[in-house]
Amino acid sequence: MSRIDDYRRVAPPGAVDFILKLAEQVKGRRFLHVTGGRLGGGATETLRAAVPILSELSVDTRWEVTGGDNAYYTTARSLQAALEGAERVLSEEGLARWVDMNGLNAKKLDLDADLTIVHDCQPASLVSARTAGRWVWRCHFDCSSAQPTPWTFFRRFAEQYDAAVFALPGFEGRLGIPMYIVPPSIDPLSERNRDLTPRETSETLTALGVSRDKPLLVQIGRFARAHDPLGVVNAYRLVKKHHDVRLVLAGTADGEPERLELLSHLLEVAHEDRDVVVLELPPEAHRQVNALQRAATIVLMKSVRAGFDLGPAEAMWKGKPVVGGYAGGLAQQIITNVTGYTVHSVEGAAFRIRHLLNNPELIPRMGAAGREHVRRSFLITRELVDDLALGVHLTR
Amino acid sequence: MTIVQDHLRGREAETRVEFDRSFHFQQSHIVEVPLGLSAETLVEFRAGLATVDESAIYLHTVETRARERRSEAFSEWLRDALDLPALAERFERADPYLTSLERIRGRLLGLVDTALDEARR
Repeated sequence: MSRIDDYRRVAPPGAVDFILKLAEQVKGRRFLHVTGGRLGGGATETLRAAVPILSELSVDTRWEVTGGDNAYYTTARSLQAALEGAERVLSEEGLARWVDMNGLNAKKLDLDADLTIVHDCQPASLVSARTAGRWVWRCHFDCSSAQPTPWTFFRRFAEQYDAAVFALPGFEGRLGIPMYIVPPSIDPLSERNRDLTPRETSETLTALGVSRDKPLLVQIGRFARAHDPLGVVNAYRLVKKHHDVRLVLAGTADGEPERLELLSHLLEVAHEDRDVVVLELPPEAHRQVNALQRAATIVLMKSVRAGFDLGPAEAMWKGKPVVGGYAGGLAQQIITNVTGYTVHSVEGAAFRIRHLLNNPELIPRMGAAGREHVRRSFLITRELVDDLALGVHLTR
Repeated sequence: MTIVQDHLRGREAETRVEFDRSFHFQQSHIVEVPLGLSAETLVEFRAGLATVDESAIYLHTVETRARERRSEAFSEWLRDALDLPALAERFERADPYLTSLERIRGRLLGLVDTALDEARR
């Protein structure tokens, strides 16, 4: 577990001291985070690092988790998917069950705090049981294209909060409460992002069966159409006509039928072309992802639809230029012509990859600019500052 | 506003941005926090400037100029407290709209270093 002083060697000058001063401002106030679980990536990954740091700073911070039966989890997942814009069938009984279970959760959990931050969809209706303090709904996904009926249902809970926090301007739904923007961040000291020795990188790549005898184009992400891995293969094929490169596609399929079908298609492509490597990795394969990003010549994130996927920030932190799709938070992370390129098509991706391979001096220059961009804007130290500043603002 | 209206008046049809490239109007909340860092000499000021969080650089350069809260500006302190009007003027002339706050920090540190070198001669 990292301590706040460990971040001094990676954060921008003065950032840690600023966090210490902000923490002093909220001393004596009680903060509570509520999520639908403690495992996985995204918000919970950040909380696993942030909550111990805040406790170390004597900021009274607790973290509670809601739970329930299978129907509760199924409805919560479907409701969140519908709020993200997907078509889902939600029954009135299921939604009532979700509300009732959160009513039981509210009785079981200690919700007494000066500021309660409820993350995402599963625990959101807890707000109906609020008694004291201020309540914030922290939405980590894009709900701007929510399905209308589920949004109407959900909105009556969302509007009971004092404020909502979104990751990006444009990710918000229509709400009549104050809304704030706090982009997500990466933990530079986590297994996924910490420095690896050349030996650690080599051993990990050898274990994965990835050879470094050619420039590596690497895309890491779920095998989902939203990340357009087939488009990446087509871009690679256009590049391959001019440059002898290797493509690595690594990610998870999560057992979902559509993703497994896509993975199977990609494995066929890899079978026919030995320079295409497809790796299905478990969600906890952080060291492997770290090594692949460090070994990459160029990192790709050619998503056509994305939330605030932090793959580009992770890659830029490792000094790599990123060619990414113009979707969600990717355009927020990639500064075109400075840290990489955002593209709108397969041809655009191929053009930018070729441009970088034809101008190899750009690769370390963009990589260095990307690392500094992430240092300033996407490290957990910046998110701690934002969260503490919001705490000061909302509890004064 | 007038400039934007004049520009739009000259166009025949309203153009739309491509999907998902809307401009999102936002407002900002500045949370000012004393950092417990103070300077009584130019050398101490340089040490603080070199190590302070970049949000402090923003507050004391861009924010103070934009909102005319000049009492907290670096230049005013240099002029009034240290009686260094020439350095204060150089600070005022430095453009805060450089590409990054770190570049502003570097520029201001350079001005302080020059002033310290001149004082030593």
